Amino acid sequence: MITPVTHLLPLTHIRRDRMLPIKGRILVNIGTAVGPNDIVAEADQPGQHIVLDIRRMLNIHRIEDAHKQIRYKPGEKVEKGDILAQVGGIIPRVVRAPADGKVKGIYRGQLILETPGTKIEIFAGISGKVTEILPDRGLVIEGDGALLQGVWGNGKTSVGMLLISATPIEDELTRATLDVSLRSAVVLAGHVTQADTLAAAAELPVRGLILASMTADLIETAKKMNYPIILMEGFGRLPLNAAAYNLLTTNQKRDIVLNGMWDADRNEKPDLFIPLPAQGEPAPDFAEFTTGKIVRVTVPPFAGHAATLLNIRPGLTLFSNGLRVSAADIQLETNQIVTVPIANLNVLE
Amino acid sequence: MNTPNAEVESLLAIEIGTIHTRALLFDLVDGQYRFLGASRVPSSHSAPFYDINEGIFQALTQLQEMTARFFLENARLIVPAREDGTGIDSLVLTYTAGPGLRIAVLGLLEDVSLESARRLASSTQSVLVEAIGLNDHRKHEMQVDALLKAKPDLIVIAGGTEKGATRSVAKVADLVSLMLQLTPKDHYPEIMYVGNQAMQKHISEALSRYSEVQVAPNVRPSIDNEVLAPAQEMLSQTVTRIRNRHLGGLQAYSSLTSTPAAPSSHTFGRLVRYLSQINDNQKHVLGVDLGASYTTLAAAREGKLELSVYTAGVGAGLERVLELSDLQDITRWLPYDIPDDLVRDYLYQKTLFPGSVPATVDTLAIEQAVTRQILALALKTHRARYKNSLTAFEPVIVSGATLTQASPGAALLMLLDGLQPVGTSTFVMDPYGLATALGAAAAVNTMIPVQVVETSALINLGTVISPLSTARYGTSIMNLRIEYESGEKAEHEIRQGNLIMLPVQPGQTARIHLEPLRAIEIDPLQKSGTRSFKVIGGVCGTVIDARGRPLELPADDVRRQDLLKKWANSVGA
Repeated sequence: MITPVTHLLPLTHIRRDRMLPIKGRILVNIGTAVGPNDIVAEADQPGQHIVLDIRRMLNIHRIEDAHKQIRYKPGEKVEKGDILAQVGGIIPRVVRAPADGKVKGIYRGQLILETPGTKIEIFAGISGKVTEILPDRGLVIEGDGALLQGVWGNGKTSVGMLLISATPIEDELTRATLDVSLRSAVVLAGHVTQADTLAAAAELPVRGLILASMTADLIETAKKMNYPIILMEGFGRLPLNAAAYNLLTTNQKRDIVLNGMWDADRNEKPDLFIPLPAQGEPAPDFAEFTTGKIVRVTVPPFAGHAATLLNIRPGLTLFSNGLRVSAADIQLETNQIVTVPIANLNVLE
Repeated sequence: MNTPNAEVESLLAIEIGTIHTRALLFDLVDGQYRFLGASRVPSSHSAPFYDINEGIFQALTQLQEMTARFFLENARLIVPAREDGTGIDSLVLTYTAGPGLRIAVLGLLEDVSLESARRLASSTQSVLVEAIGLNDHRKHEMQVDALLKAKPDLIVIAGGTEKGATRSVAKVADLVSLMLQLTPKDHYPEIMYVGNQAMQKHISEALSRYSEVQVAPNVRPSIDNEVLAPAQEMLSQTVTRIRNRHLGGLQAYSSLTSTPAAPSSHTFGRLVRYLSQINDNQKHVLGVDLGASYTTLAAAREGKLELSVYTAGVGAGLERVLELSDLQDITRWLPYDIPDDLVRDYLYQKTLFPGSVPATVDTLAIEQAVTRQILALALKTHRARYKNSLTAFEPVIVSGATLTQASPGAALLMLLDGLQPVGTSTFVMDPYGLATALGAAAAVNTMIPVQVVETSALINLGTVISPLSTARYGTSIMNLRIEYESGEKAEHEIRQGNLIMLPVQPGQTARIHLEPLRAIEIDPLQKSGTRSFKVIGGVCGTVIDARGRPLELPADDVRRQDLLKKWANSVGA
């Protein structure tokens, strides 16, 4: 059976789309070398709209006549106080722009003014080279390095030096164990169960937290933090699988890019990328459950444990709770052999 | 698209689910349509494939191995079947995959056309992103901005009874027209008009320069009359057109399928409506499809369907359940102590791995507890939306792996606790998830659902009699006598609070006579004198649920847990 893999790759070649949600401007060219914090594209988010009923305001009967009195065309910029339309007579009447903006349209005697909106900026997110430009829409960046996919992120991104908390990886990270040596670093730690720990990390400040796990009651707090938080295993007090731990520890003190943005509907995961001065090969995004594969258990029991797949059991297997499902025998890092539902396994590659 | 064909023999149904892609085969065997097999593999609509074809190919390959039939040649489906038996005569395709459609509804009166438009929108997997009616007091430009900000995939315009309001409908059209003027061309939403038919031309002329306007019959031809069915058919087609842009590979199947691909909820509703037409009963046929992201409730009586899809399920949909519920609403159904943080952590973990299954006693208990809460939430929302007192169902068709993979007793108890039916209801399990496929097949050949539902592909869990009484817990409320086909008889004293499973073998008929000892309501829709029922045994026999409505659980944890264990033992859960 083919299944998507979770990447834990010491060296690979990655390709990332950076797309604007609306038409905008691309700020780089093909071949441009970019860093994670570089802004590579931008667009103007529309502001609010003001509908000015010129026909009624100037007391004009026919729509066409109202349109003739409008001094601006769609797309033209106006400043607050500019005369938008005017009729003469003994007492001339005018309609002035109530705010700075752009004439967005003229419709049935009405002028629609769009006030300036916010600017959308797209960051490169990784180190690499721009390899493709989609005019007005986005671009593609490719780079080489180590790649690790997590399972949950708080939607933030950043880059910083990877440091490993002195707290043993299987233990809880607390305010007390977040020492000053971790300031401005991306910190790898075990699990977090207290909102105060996340606040302490913000105060320090850290550039990001890579955690094995976090209790689910902290989700909303974590989303409010101004630094990225990425969970490698999920919610609870789950251990970090040894393969990820080993890969991260070998890259300590290197710059690491945290991308806490993900899309569950599209099965897109948050990830960690460590740029390396070597050329990697793209890794397959899917694999088959076969003997010898390194897998990770996703839910209890053994959640967060990496293991070697020994064999897939034929037919359906009866579990202690009465459920009958397809299952596999796996060997945990402790050498313990256990049987788990295949649905609860991820291939790590 | 292949044309529907009453002479069709083999039919292949493909269902693209959020988690799994399934292929189901139906064919004529000795002149009767039969379900021959189903395969299930992970779906491929999302990363890394972003295309439904890989999942379909895997599912068909697996189905070929299981059935020793061949549907594929060079990885392409053979439609229609060839003389050598390879291929299939007819293909239908349904889907739940993909995020909910963003729908904005506009209408006139809040409780009339706008409400009907809301009901229409909720009959498919959707997120209602904006609703604007006459009573919306926001300024015109604020309404326009709200619509722009909502970024709808689809705008549904309702309003005006037949020969009713036109000027107000024209104002709504103006609002939408203005919004479309300000929308970038490549972001134009689809438009559906389901209002006063006299305004069809006006609406089309005003809006068709931006988007094609789909027109369906008025959902509110008069104030007191709501007609959703034709608009639901059109909505299904509109949703598919939008999904064709989002679901990689879907468009390619339009030339192969015998009927347009449709949202699973739509065909599930179609089957339930169809069953209500052949079901000689005053009660609603109820269909419950509990998915990973969505739960569909379809209730129909005499062909009139009430269809609701909720963004709540046992996978990604758990996030919404946890938003709408206190954790205690879930943990109160646990038969023993599991710390709150473990329950919360597990449920959120399940949102990350929606395809995972509960492998321990604890995690199964948590999933079965949350299932009760999802069912209760779905029914509560459905009742509020349709403003009826939907409580009596016959039968109840149940789909969804969490329910169908559980033991029959556990599944029945989850349904009784979650739905809390009154009167007599027969619960029918759909272990192979045939309902959506049969609903789709009905559009090709109506004999397929008729004949397949009569086979053992659906499992009768049993008939449940749920009398209502205000008696105190433990008080005798009626005597029950059961007469089996064999002539054997048995008598039981039923007390308030009892949950009793009567041993009626599957398929065996028995007659139950009830002798009330106090004022009780045995069935709200039957004549008050009805005291005798013929029942057909299911895998859980026949069940008397005298626990009262609404079910009240003791506040004391120990007593509550004891009671839950007692109920579970009563039905062999």
